[in-house]
Parts: sequence; C-alpha cells; structure tokens
Amino acid sequence: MYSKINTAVSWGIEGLGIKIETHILRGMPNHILVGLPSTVIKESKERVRSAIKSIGVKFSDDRIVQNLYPADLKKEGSHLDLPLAIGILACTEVLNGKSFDKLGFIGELALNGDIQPISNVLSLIEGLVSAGISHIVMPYDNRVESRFINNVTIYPYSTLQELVADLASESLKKEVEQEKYDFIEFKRNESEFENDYNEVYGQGHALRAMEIAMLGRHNLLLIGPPGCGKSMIAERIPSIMPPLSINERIELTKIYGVADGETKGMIKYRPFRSPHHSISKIGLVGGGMKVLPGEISKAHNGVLFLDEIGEFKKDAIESLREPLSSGKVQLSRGGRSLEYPSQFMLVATMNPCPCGHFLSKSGLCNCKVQSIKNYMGKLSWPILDRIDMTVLMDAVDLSSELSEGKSSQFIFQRVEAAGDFKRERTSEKMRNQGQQCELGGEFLNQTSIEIIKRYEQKGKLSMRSVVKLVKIARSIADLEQSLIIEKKHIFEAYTFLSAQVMKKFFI
Amino acid sequence: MKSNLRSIGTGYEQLAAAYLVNMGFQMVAKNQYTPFGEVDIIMEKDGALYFVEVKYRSNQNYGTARDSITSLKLKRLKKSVSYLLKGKYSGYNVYSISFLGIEMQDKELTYDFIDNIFS
Repeated sequence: MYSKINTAVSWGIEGLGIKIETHILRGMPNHILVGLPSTVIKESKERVRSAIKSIGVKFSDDRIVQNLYPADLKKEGSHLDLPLAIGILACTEVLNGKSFDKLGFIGELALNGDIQPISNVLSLIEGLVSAGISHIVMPYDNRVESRFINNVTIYPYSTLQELVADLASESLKKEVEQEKYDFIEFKRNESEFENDYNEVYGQGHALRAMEIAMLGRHNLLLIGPPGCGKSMIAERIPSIMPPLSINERIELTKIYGVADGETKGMIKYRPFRSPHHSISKIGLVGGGMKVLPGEISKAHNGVLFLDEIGEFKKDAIESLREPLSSGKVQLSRGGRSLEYPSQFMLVATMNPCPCGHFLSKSGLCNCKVQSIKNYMGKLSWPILDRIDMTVLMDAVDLSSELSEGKSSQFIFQRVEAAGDFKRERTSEKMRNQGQQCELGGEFLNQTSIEIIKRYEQKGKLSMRSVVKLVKIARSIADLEQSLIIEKKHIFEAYTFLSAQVMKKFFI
Repeated sequence: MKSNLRSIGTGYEQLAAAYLVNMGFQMVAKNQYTPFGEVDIIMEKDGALYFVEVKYRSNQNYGTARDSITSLKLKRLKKSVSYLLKGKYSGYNVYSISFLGIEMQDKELTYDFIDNIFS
C-alpha cells in the first residue's frame, strides 16, 4: 500500500514544496522515516502514532516506511506531523483509494489528535502554492495569517478526527469567507505606546533630526555626554514610526516565523530592536547551525537601535557594512546559502570621548587627545560613511526656560504627511518634470548647487558626502512639502554631517 | 506450571508446523536448543532454510503476537541462528529468520506469517 502527500518545509523565509511517500509492507512492526529528517521530525513518529490511536483507528502493526522527497534536502519543523499521519491513514482502509494530489497538508499534532498551530505558516503556504497546490489543509488557529495570501483555498481544521471524517466522505469544509479582509486595515492606537516625545525637554535639534531621519529612513548617530537624553530620544522612536503596509507585514511575519517560532498572528508594528552590546556577530547578522536571521533581519523595515555603539564587538559592527548598503544579507553555512532581507534604519548612540564630556558646556572633560582619538577610532570610516546623519547633543541647561517637546502624535502626523508628499513626488508624473543635475539629486535649484560646489571646493565634502548631503536635504524639503531643494535645506543638512568633520579633525 | 506452559507451546508449535507444511514447506527440525536460546521450528523450501519463531496469543489484551517480539528476543534469535548455521546446517547458503504468530480471534485461530523479519 502506497500513498503520496504534498506538504512544504521552510527554506530561509521562503517555502519549498515537498512530498511525503508512505509505503506499508508486511513485516514486523516498525516505523522508518528517511529523507534527512531533523530530530523534531523523527520525534513526530510518536505524536503521529498517539494521534492516530486516539481517533480510534488501529495503528498499522506492519512495517511502515516514509520518505520525504526530495531526499537530499535537510528538513526541519514540527508541521510535518499532519501530512505524515495522513500518509499513513491513506495507506489503510480508513482513507484507502482517495487521491490527495491536489491537497497540501501542514500542521502539528497533539497526542490526543488535536491539530496545533505552527510557526511560519505564510512561507509554508507560499511554498505549496509555488509547487502548484492551492488547496491547503492547515491548523484552525493559523487561519488568520492565511487570509493574507490570495488565490488559495484554505481548509482549517482543529482536530484530526474531523479532518479524517471529512476526507473519507470527500466533503472538506472551506474557510468561512466573511470578514476576510476587514481586519487587515490596522489602526494606530496611541495608548499602546508607553513613551511619548512630549516627555523630552529641550533637545529640539535632536528631535528635528529624528523627524528627518524617520522620513528618509536615514541612519542616525547621536553623540553626547552621559545623561543628555540620547537613549531617551531613541527609545521613543516606536511612537513615530509610520504604519506597515500589508506586504511589509507579510515579509516581517515570515522573518519572525523563522527566527522566533512565532505561532500566532501577524506582526502589527514596525520592529524596533535594541540588542545589548554583548551581542555576537552571528546574533547581529544571522547564521549559526540553522542559519537563522539575526537582529538586522528582525529589524527589517524598522529600526535597529545600537546603544553605545562603541562598546559593541568590533567584528559585529563591521559585519554591518554590506547589509547597510545592500539591504539584504547572504548567509552560508553547511551547504546552505540563504538570503534574508535587512532594510533597517540604524540608530546609534555614543559618547564623544572616554569620559563623555568632550565638547560639552560643562567642561568636565580632561581626556587626553590620544584617548579621544582612540575612542573615535572605535567607529571605523566605512561604518561612519554609511551613517547619513550625526547629531551632537549636549546636556540641557535646567536654569534656562524649557519648552516641552512636540508630542509623538504631532511628529507622527508630520512624517506621515511628508511621506504622502514624497510618494506623490516620486510618482511617474512628477519625475518627468524635474530636471536631473550633475549632483544626482532632483529639483536642486541653482543657488543650492552653487553652495554644494563651494563646500566641495573647500575640501569639506567628499563625493560620497555630497550624495549624503543631497539625500538629507531632500528629506528636509519633503518635510516642508517643498518640491525644490532650497538653500536653507542644504544649510540644515550640512549640520548633520558633524561626525565626519569631528573624526577628520582627530585623525 | 512450567511444564504446563511448555505443553501449550508444544501444542501450538505442532499447529504451526502443520500450517507451514500445508503452505509447501518441508519440516527439518523442531526445538533446536543452542547456548543462546531455542529455535522453534526449522523448515526448508526451494533450497532455503527457514528458522521460524512461533508465538501464540490467546487474546489481544496485552498486545498482538507481533508485539511480543522484543529487540532482546530478536538478538538471541539471531545468535542462535548463526550458531546453527555454523554447525549443523552449514550446507545452506540461503536462509531466512521468520515469524509465525497464532492468535485466537473470535474463537478462531488466525495465522500471521512474516517471511524474513530482518528486512
């Protein structure tokens, strides 16, 4: 007796369709699983046996051989329990002679025959779809995620008993169509954010930088003495991050499904990851035995916040070079080569010197020039080059009159409005109106071009810095909803290149 | 008590032998003792030697006859067979270790013969 069942395994954040062949031969009771199963899959033999017995079917006491095709691919995941069980049942009189060519199965089994929710459902469904299977039986508790994928018919089941009964009578129950899309529009809920920018007093310069960086997704470095509010400002980033689009949510949910084994629901907010500085290179960029995504991929479409960037391991920080410029990371290990997306916005903080008070009004710093040089040297040029904006902060003078900061809601709305303007600007219609100039940016007016050239001639800017300058100026102009990059935008943008100036001064 | 169990075994081994002869096997020997254990029945068919382990179960309350073959029993059986193949039955090139379960189901005897249990 022989059967063939379709299912899928994950390969990075993608899914791959695989087949489970089952052959029951006359022989001593034995259950053999071949085709490079991982330990989790080998253990599923026991779950499958218990689940089949618990629904009142006699578990075959012949020799069962199950093969996972393709046999040379290493397979991971507990979601193969259900297809393995269906494969065995399809060889017995319970489901004998039924064809399962058009159906795909994914799900984990409990010992009592319940079908349990699994992680990474989206990748698995996509894997089945790419293998040409659009009718999928899956755990009932995972049905919400499945609605994000079009052109598939989902049959959610919560127990093996019901599923087997419906398979036997060939009357599988589809998912109820109602409320199919109404939950996808996700509303921002102010009360979900613990912190708000109106708790920040002073530091208007840094808040302004944050606003610009958030709009253009520029990498940002905050330099300042201890206690001046660097981390406070960075920690409030989640309250001004723009909402995720549906495709971004799907992509993120796939990454988290692989990385954290998240079993339920979709990712709602843009990620804000703040790993401790003891993190290893593999923890940051991904890899390891299973080639899992690292913090940079978990921060995809969101913010990676490295507090005290100088304290991180040198090799960990340097490994950010390629992902920072390419937006993806290719990891290879043990014959597996996987690519994870990593379009994150880097926000980092550091002190300007070992004691932290260099350039501060307090005048407390008595660091030697050499030690300041060494401290700045922790951040290499290639990394600094990839950080678009730098803000020098100083402690707030409590004696002067302080204005309360703008609220997160206010900043969020400004960034949103500017984002709409930007999308309109970059649309096809507008693009044709602007004339290209030799500096790479669009809509630069003549005075702006002259200012940039003057900076360049004075030797203050490298070619790469010019590109950065124009990028920042573009975001500032967008924030004011101005089509033309004017003189004032260039001047403001230039203030955010201070770290390079500072580092150049010391080396 | 012991002799009583032995006599039950002998009775069903005779039934088993009769069943196998009916299937076209030829009787070679019965109850061959070795230092490692016992081989219940040895049969021959088409030049091949069959070492048959016979198991009787009067009910399935404690599993089927198949379930009673443990890995330890298999190990002993293997050793006994190789002992016999080296000694008394060295003339045979082809052999098979087989199993014959006899079960009482609905007051009727059912036979479950597995040729070559090590495949």
